[in-house]
Amino acid sequence: MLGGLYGYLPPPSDEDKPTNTTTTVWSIFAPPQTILKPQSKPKTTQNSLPTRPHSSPAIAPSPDDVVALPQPALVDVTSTVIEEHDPARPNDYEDYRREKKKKEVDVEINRELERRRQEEEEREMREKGNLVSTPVSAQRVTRHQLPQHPKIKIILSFNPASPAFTLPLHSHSDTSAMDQEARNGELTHHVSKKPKLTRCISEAEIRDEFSHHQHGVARINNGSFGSCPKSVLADQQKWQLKFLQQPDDFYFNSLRKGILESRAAVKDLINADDVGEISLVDNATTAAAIVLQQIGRGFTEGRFHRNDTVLMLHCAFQAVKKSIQAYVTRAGGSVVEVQLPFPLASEEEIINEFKKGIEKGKKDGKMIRLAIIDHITSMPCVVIPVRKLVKICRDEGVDQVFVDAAHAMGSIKIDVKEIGADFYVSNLHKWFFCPPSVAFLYCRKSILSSDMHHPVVSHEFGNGLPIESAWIGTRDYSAQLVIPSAVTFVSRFEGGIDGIMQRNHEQALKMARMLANAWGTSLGSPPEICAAMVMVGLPSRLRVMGEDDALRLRGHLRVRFGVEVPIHYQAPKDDGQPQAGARDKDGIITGYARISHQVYNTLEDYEKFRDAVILLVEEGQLDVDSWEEFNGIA
Amino acid sequence: MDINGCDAKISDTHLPKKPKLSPTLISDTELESEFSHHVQNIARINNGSFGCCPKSVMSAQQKWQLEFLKQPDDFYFNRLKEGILQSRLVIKDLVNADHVDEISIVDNATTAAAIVLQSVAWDFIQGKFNKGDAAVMLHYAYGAVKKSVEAYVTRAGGYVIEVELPFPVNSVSEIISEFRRALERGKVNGRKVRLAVIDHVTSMPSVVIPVKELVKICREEGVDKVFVDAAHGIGCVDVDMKEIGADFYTSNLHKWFFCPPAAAFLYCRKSSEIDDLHHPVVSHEYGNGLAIESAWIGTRDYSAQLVVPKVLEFVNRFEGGIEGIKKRNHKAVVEMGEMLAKAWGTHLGSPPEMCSSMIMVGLPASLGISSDSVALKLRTHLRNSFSVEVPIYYRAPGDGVVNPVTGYARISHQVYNKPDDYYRFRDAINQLVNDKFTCELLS
Repeated sequence: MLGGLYGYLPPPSDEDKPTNTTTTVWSIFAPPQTILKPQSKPKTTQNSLPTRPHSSPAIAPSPDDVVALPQPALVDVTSTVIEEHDPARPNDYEDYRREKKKKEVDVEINRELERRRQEEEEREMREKGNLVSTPVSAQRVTRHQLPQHPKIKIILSFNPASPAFTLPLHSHSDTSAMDQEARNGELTHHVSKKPKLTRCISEAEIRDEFSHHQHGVARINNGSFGSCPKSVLADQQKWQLKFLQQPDDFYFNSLRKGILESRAAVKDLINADDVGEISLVDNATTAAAIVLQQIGRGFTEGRFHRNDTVLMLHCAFQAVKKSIQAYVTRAGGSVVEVQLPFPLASEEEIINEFKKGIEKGKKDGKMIRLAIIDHITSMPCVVIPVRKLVKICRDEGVDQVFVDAAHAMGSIKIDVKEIGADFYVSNLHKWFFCPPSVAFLYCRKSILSSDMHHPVVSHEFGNGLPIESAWIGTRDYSAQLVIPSAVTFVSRFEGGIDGIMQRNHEQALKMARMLANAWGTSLGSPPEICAAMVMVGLPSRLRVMGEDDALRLRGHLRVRFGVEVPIHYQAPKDDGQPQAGARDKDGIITGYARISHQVYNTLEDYEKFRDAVILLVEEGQLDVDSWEEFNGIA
Repeated sequence: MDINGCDAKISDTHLPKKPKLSPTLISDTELESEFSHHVQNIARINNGSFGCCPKSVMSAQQKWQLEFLKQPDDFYFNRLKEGILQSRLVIKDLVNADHVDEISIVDNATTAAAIVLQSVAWDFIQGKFNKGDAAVMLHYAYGAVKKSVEAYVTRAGGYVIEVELPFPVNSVSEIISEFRRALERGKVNGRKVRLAVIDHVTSMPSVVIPVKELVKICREEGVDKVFVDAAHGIGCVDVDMKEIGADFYTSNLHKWFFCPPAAAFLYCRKSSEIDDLHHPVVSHEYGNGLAIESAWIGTRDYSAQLVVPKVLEFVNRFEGGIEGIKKRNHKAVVEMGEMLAKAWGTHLGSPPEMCSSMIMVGLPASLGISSDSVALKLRTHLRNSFSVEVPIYYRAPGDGVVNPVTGYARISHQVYNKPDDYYRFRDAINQLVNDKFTCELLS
């Protein structure tokens, strides 16, 4: 096929469908489409080609959505480009799935209607028998009457903006169940949304799942790098092997499907509207690059004014700060950092500081183009009231809101609709038991999303971020493919991931209090603004006097005591006074440990840490300079 | 394979830089065992698309993966950097670079292209290049690279010129003269040619491009930056940075150098501009040089980048190391290509000296390959019905050609291939022809 300068790439299952390339865009980002089921339309032809959009009026794109293939303006030659291994297109698979599910739903509808018709007939028969007139509201409903019935609308749309499928017939107990089933989306059958509680995982099984962890190390730092159980690792190795066994076949026939299933699992977990809102990327750092590159283009292409601002929290992750520097500052944007106090006494403090930051960002008529809000800050670690801050952003006219929730999934409840941000990223390898590395980036369906691109550009460029992200050249996609496996893993725990979160939170707090009591110090924030990580003050006599000391102490704890825990240095206020409440009997608390709790942790881990610190204090002579030196990350 | 049984020290992955030939060469049985995870009874004559990875390298990779999972903090602070440096040192020697700082390791050539093209985009945005200045690339450039040029260079105001290349190609001079013409076109109206993207081995159709000559022409014509996309480079053609003389050169290591997916190197010639190259995924290492930036782009699996020394050990079990492998692959693929062309009564897509370990073989015209999608269908049909894994290229016929060859198979040869693989392919096509099969039947 000629003409596609940048390569018309037919799908492997290509069945002569010229609009294919564009339907994907439609399928993900088009406005809601509600199409009345045509009168007397028979079941969708079973043998119709799955990807042919017009085979089903119910999901056919409107003409506006079928745009011509983009033709680059600035190129001389037009001719064919053929790639060796690209024609596979995940989006076709989505079309296919949509079509397939639609057929299933059609069958379901017809069955339901048939059933109701029979019920109505039976009732009429009964009523006739009883000589009772039929009430108007209980008019007999048949398939043929459906379209004309003023109150009956069958909405068949898989668009996120509308309820996936509603059957607002007269009340019937089954309707809501069906409704519910449909609302859960076309793909939910892959992953059991509710954890199945057959038999909970035993202590011994948990130990076995994490038996590859270094023995003799108190690993109370799940936050930095997460953990991955053996069962998920085994699944990952299966995927890796599958690729190596027959890569062409894997690429054409397994990869797209696998990634789609993972995305569908994420969609359900975070209450997104549509799987088209979910992209899988390596990590939160990659997601930040995607979002900030888009903002950067706003500046370089003149849509934003120079010095329009990006707002961020002072304690944002270092990589995010650097991304802002690379993409926003370089492109002429300015940055406002919101200073947060630490230790924190209440959520209010955060909200007040944030409001001040917004004022500062809007000074002199500047526009705030993006606010970046951590859901859980890394160092020091605090849960931020994102929902409230997002709302403030909306009220104050901030263009876009990006929630960096690197630590969120599996450690705090995520409901993207409730939070209401434009972009939300969370790693899955930190608290959701995935191997390194995989994260999801949620992009709320909006016009903006169409200019979101993965910085690594493949032949999928322009097919929407989820599709672009699903193929960024040959590489190992196995970590992205095991999300269903991680879902299975968490479902073995009482209460599923919610139960895990709850218990980790309780245990982390309990352990933090135990440590603070033993050391005569205090926690860095009130219990309600912690997740599965808590900041615990270290005895002032350890004299952590700077970032370097904190890093040395961390290394020393690893090497000498076998304790893995990150240490935070908190400078006193400018006037040399301690932050509120940050004092123990000997002086100002300047060092905090961030302890984590994950399912594999035991009381002994924390006792080991407790005793190590007590020993260091008792030894008195803290030979900081002899401690191991290294560079750091949290 | 067993995630349990990997307690062994990983020090064996830190290898001496200089290739050392093991006293005993790999035996046929060992070779078979190294690739015994490949699906059996498949004629896998498409190493070019996704490469291959022997078992010994896979198990080294799993050791690295486990090292991380065991105690990630320790791994991060005490092992990762050193491991990546070792890999970079191996590559530096292999490609004859001046300094290890010139070598960055990234996922694949696609990622490398994004890095280079983003820096070019900044040159346009920040006014160092004028809008409308030209970028030249081959018509047969890889699709992903073309898209990347569109996303970064065209969007930033660059004017893209494609160099039309003939196919089938008869001589190097055909390519050189087309390239010269494109540069001239680029300089029309006082425009400047800011960037040339040159493939070392084009993907589809596969032809070895005379990069050294083209780079030289670029220098003479004052092209600012020359980027060689050698996705198929290392292990497939001669890769000598000093001899080629490009500013940027990338090659995958998982295609022809036995790395697992995915690792590639990006060579950036030492110059002042190197400071302005950045990995698009920005971590706290931003500004510390591309090699360091690329070595940490957030928590992820770096194991594929860490096994390069182990791969070197693997290739050195073959006579002549990677050079020997390359030569034998080339010889074998030419032989097999000629055998197929003879059996089918067709021709090769390029003279033997213009191919590497891949060669294009014309398919019988009677198959009726009439479009890209038909070519793809044939590829699928060969996989499903004949267990042959080979990519097919559609070439539109020239005007007035009678009974033209419109389809070419790109066959590869790698150490695990046997003549039987190609005989199976030959027989499959012969059978299709005898059965009066045409691709129309596939729709």
